[in-house]
Amino acid sequence: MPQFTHLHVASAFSAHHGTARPETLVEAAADAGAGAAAITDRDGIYGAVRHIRACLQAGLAPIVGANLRVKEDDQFSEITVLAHGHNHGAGWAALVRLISSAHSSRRRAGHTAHGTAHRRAWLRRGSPGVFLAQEQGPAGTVLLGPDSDVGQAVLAGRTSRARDLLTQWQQQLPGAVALEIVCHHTKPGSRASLAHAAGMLRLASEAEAPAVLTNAVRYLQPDDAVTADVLDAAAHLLPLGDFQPQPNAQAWLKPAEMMHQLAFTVAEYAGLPRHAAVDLLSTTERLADRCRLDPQTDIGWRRPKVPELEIIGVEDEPSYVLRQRCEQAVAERYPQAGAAQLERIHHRLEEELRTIAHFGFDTYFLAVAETVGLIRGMNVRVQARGSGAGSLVNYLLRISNVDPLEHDLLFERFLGSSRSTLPDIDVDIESAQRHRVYEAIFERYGHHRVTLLSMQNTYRARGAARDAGLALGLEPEQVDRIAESIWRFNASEFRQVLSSRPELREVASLVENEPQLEMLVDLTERLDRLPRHISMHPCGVILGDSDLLSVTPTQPSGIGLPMSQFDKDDIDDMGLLKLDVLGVRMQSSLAYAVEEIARVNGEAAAVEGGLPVDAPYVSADGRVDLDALPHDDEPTFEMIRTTHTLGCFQIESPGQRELLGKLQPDRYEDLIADISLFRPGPMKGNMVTPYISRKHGYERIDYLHPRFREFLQDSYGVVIYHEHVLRILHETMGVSLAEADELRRRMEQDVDQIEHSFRTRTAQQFDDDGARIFTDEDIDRIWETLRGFGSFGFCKAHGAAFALPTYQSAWLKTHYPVEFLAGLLEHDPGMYPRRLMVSEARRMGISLLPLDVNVSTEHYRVERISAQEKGIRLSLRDVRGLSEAEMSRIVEHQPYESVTDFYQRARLSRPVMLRLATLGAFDSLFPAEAEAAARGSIISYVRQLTASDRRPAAAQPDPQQPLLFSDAELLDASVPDPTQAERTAAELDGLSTEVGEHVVETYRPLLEELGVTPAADLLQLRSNAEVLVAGIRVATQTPPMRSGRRTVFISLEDGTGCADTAFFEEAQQQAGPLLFGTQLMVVRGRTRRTGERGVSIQAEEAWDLKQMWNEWERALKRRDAAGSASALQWSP
Amino acid sequence: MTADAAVQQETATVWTTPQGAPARLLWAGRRFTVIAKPIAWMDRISWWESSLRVPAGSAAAVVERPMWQVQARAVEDGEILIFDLAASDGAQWPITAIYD
Repeated sequence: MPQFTHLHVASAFSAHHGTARPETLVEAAADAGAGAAAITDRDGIYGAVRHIRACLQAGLAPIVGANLRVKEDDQFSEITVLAHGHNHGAGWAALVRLISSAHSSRRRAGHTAHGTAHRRAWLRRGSPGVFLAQEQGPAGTVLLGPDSDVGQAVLAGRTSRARDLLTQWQQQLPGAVALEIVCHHTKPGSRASLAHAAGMLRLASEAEAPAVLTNAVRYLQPDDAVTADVLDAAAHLLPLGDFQPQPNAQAWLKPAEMMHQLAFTVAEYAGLPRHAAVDLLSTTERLADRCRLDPQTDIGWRRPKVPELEIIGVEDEPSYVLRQRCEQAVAERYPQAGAAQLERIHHRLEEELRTIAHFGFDTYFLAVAETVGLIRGMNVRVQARGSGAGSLVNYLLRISNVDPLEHDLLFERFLGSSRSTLPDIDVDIESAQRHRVYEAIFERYGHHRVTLLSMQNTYRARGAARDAGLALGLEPEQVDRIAESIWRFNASEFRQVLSSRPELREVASLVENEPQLEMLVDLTERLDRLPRHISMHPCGVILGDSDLLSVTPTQPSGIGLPMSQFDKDDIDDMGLLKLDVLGVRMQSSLAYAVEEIARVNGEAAAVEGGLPVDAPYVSADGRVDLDALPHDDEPTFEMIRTTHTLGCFQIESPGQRELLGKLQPDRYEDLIADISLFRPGPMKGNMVTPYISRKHGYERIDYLHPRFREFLQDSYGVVIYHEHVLRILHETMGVSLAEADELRRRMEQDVDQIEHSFRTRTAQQFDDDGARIFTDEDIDRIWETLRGFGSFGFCKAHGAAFALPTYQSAWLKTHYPVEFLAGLLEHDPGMYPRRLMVSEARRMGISLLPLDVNVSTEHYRVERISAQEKGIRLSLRDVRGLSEAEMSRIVEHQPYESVTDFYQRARLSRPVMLRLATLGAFDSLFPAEAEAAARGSIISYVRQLTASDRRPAAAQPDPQQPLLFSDAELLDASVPDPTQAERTAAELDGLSTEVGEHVVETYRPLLEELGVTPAADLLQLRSNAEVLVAGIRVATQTPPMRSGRRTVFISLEDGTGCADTAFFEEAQQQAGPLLFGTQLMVVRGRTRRTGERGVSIQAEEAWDLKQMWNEWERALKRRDAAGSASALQWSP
Repeated sequence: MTADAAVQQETATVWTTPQGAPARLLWAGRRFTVIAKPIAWMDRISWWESSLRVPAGSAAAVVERPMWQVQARAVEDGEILIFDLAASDGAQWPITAIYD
């Protein structure tokens, strides 16, 4: 079998260019009998780690390079750079740094062209030499292909210039420049044609320069060329036919035989002897050999690269330092602990420290603690999330605020005995402080040790359909219509779901009648899951040692800080430490509410919140310490039980509110259970019903075995948590908790595989008297439960970590509703649109104070209206079209005496002025008693004021000078006021939320005629009552269901509350395209009681409210017309 | 096919070598002999203008078609022209370009 190594291969990680995943390409190379495989993506090594991993699995030597653009005298050309291997990482480091230099941030300036076809990264012509030429010999080879400056000169027939350019390259990088011969059999005379390739080979021969053969691969097989065409269209943001497409379908991973044949064809056409072809092929293989990387010595594959000790402030043996810090913290964290508990704490601490030391993770924990301490020192809320909450060490180091002993959380679930890569410790911080925190981390560890993680955004069905539609040049409206009906499926299943999903019914019939749409479906499927662009990961920060920038290339992220070209799947293999620092809006809302409580209430805060005046968690000046709240506040649980939990973390969704209604939590453990039960696993495992039945005493509590009683207390004996399973296996089989976690993981794969060992080992457990602890019946019963549990459980540490902000937000909503709602409006943390929170404030009787140019600011501020009442002042921030600069000007110049004064000093555009007038932001500038000062007159006045000739120009009138007439005197009282419906429409338009009246009110007459039930009244209906509800869609969910069938939950909000409707299969059929596309809906269905406080509606039929309204109005007009006609007949 | 289209899509009658390369052709009533080694190349097709299906895995032939560029001398008057011919099953091959 002939050998050939493809040295120029773009994978799908060359976004909008390559079509094949690295794994697929490597597999193909292995099948073809290659000994090595290369990846050379555009502008980076985004796919390199996957490539190396695949090579290691297939037993191939990995080769890594990148295709880069070179800029010289404003002309662009391309080179491909390959890293040399087996040089202790010199090649890798040089490639990495060269790539980073191509992305340096100054490259961004001046670029205006959109679309990935306009690549941003470029090198100076001298850069490759600077990075690659080293004392020990060149660290990499530059390939000069058809798109290089040399290749361009050859194509243009400028042979001597080509030769000069080649000489220059050879001088900057002696011994490491090769001509890259590419023949794609394009039209004679064009790029990569036979003649072009032959010209290049002739040049190599004359200049005695080495030449290699490649196929400049961008897809696996010819069929993929169609996909590449669509990607090119997406890259150009133009339909196919509107730009120069690829010349043909030759850029595929051709087999060795074909490549050998190609070598001979080119040599023959070049008029060179046969041995020129043989040389070409052998040079190619020699270069491949030179570029084979050794993952261990070249990349430090899987070898941890953590910050140096001194940089994290550790001057002693890290395990010693870690122990000391933990021991010191015991007294702080457990001030009340008695001797027995202290012993428990120290025992647990010993075990955790032993495991951590065993893996050598001491430094890692210290680094995380250092970082979290840094964040806390910035006065930013920070809280660990995930299984890390199960660690006492994390609690002591203040990485986590969840006490693992209080909730019986297990360290072994977090860090078992078989883990070899660094565990994930994820922390949540205030979203609004995220950039500041990132900057601080960069400053703290140094820019050469830190970079952000990136992520690859891949095509999902909706985006794929849009780009396929663009490529085909379909009407944007048609593409929109199709895209909007697409709801959560893989693009590759498009044709399959087309026939089964009711919401796609109309699309399906379109497709049948239009061949172009058939094509759209095919193309959409082709794009499935291809990377489309790289962006900053929402929370990942990479911490490395001082060599980090030789390990990963970086490029500017959206926020200016550099991000790695590697994503989360790459970093374990690269041995990089990742911190998940996630900005969570709820944390910002919590922090904001706490600020507002102190600001507005001051020392009266405790009394205002209905708390004891000496509450230890409220400071004298009114600061609430949310992390110190007692976990048994009955008013908070009472509020939760009403299910009016909109705005509360994790428990505001319709499904959650339904569950809360049934579960009626009255203790903190219930809250953890509630959050844990509302997960796919526990839902499928049917853990909800027994939990509720037992809690409410409908069912006897059964602990399976007396020995389990203690640790199953928290769930009334229902096995819900991974921690439960660990303890059961530990008790029954006599294995360690760490081993138990291994077994649990195996159970998730295949539960039956452990049955035998479970039964035999459990039967061999004897008590002190030599009697069996577990009878055969016990074993049967326990096994049945474990088996049923299967993979359905949830990690309690996750649940407990989530429960903390849940509880904190519910507590704030109970005790400080106005301040909490202000926090919600300010940071918009939840799943619902802000307008629902406005509606919730209205429901709670909280005054929303109108927009007022003299009082409103960038923030939603709490204002004291009277001694008894506080309200929330609307912020300028959500006024549509108001820029950041305009907002600052408004606030800076407050207060204003008149509209004219405002117009002159705040200097806003006319549309924004009019919008503010429409929203009533000027109302307070007119004396309330002024007869003419109605909204309509003000709007009309502002319209005149801002007419073009009155625009304040550069020379502004002196604001000190008294105005001839006051604004109020100039008002025209004859202008009619807008109706309430017009005001609502204006608010929706100007603020994206209505303030005065709910949007549904506009349709009130129709709703009355239909007999629609307000959401608030649903609770009074008996179960299974037929009912009509109407409202604006605030949530759409397709949560995991026990049956596995899709149910669509749509929540409609009507100003009195939320009606939660469930569409099962038949109703989905009926609703069709309305399911995901319609905002205002009317739904007919039957009520379903879901517990004491819960009711939902099983939908039967749905209509579009707007459409219904239009038809109704038309019908009314017809009726009126008919009525008046008949009246005429009656007249004499 | 309309008359216009027929004019635009001129064809030649082509006689090939046993290997399939054009050797002689008849175009516009003139006879030509190929005088240099023909160059095989691949041209692309604007597949999106068709109404074909392009499902993944079975559209390999949709994007390109084999072409020959030949240099040929007119038997009658010795004029030398370059033709781009689209390789076809029968003897009638579409001509996509002619250069002198």
